Amino acid sequence: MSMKLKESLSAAIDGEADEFELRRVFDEMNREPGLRTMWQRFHAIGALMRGEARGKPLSSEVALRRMWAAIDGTEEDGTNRNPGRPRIPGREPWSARMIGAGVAAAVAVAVLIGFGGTWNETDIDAPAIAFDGTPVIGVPATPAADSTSPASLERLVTANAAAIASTNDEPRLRPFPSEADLLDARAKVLQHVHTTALNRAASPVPFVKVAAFESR
Amino acid sequence: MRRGAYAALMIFVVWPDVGATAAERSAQEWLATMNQAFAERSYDGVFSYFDGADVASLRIVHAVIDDVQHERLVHLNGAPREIVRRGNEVACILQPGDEMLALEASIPSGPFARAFTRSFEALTDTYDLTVTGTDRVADRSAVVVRVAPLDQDRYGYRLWLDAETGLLLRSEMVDMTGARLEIFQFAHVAIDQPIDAELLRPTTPTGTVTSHLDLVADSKLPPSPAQWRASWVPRGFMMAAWDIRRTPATQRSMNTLMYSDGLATFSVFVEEMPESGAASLVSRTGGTVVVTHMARGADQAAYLVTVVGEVPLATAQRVARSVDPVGD
Repeated sequence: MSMKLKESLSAAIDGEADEFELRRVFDEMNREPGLRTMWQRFHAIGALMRGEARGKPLSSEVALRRMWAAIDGTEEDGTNRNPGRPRIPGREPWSARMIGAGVAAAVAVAVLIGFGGTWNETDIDAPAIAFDGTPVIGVPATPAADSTSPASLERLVTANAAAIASTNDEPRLRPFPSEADLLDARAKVLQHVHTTALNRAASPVPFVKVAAFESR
Repeated sequence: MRRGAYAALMIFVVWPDVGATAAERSAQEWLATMNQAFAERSYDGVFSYFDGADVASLRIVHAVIDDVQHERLVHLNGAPREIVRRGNEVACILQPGDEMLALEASIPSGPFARAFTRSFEALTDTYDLTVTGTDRVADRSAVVVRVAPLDQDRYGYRLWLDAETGLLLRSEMVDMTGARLEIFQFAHVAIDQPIDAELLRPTTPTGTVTSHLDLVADSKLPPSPAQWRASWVPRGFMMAAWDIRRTPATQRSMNTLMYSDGLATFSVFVEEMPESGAASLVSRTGGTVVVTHMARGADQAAYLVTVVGEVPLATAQRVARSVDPVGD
């Protein structure tokens, strides 16, 4: 993939591409399945990348401005909200850091769909993607999330070896969760939901989380 | 500056005046009215709940009988599941094979610690509370209250409260990207109409299993002091409850700490590292995150720290990394 195309893809993902660049990216996606896969994956992990998962959040002013605008139902400049994804002037494109970044073999992040998800080797069918020095492998090739749909639809479970691989002689947390690990995590979520519900009995919403807990 | 303004405003804040018009009430008064409405009003409605991945439909019936709150929540989709509350007694009516039963069996059982709660006044240290306008939800007039965090360590909320009674008709939890993580919304609700007592009784067809959730009767904290702490928590978060229990299967001791800022909560679980090890998890489903971390105890042994809560991932990760033994 040419650097120019990577830049266009980055701009398109961040909503900063002009019409010509968008058309070029979509044309290329029709010709190159790998580009389409990359597009889908960037969107699938976008929510985590946009500040929350990197451990390097957006600048507080930008993030708060965006959240307040969302809560107000307006754009950050005070105009009515566009149904499309809100744009942040001056926001550092997360995709730009991902594209072309190297893969550090010692540090791996595995991404699964949902708590109840299972690791699917067939999902690991494309080159690893990295951002901020942390590689990502096995990002499920799910359809790109609609830009207007809640990012939380992207239910992602990641196993992050980077956080614990500090020294060689220390016990390490596994980079990939087993079924038992996921069951244990779900049990703790349930206990948290129970405790929260019982202690916030003034509102039915916490109990709703108990009733709706993973019933699907 | 903002907090200063709110401190000044607090001087004039009074407990909810039901006679005040919608425009006259402050956001804090509306939140207090909302809590009163949940506890004291009778209501029967159907609502949707989006948890970030799926939409659930539930019916809720609530009434106060002989000064005791009665409530029944019925899950309308999927496997039949009901939650029945009578005062502090809570029972989950489940079908055999419900995954909740298996999950409950793998976590420490017993009564849940009662948490300290913070008043809505304390929220102004960490949230900007504003009445932003009016709207219509479930065919009722609603007042919209914005609960905007003053930092990135917590999520924001948008609340639609019934203009007549203050009952919550719709709520949205919003993250720093502007995405709505969780949505609760009544499709229909009848408020302050007579409630047939029969509607508050669970349906228990043959074979159903009842799981009880009990809150400890008194507000005392466990006799043994907390052995672990989070040495960093976002501003305004306080340890609201802690508990030390053993898992039924492995008899492993698990410390559970619950922190709250009055709206958001997160739990910290600390246990000896299982012999089989554990995975490094960083996950988010809707507004609920789970992160794990390995910590060293005072005995230099490895412990597994798990943070679960409705806070941003970065916040949960920072909390997890800060967990250390008390006295360190």
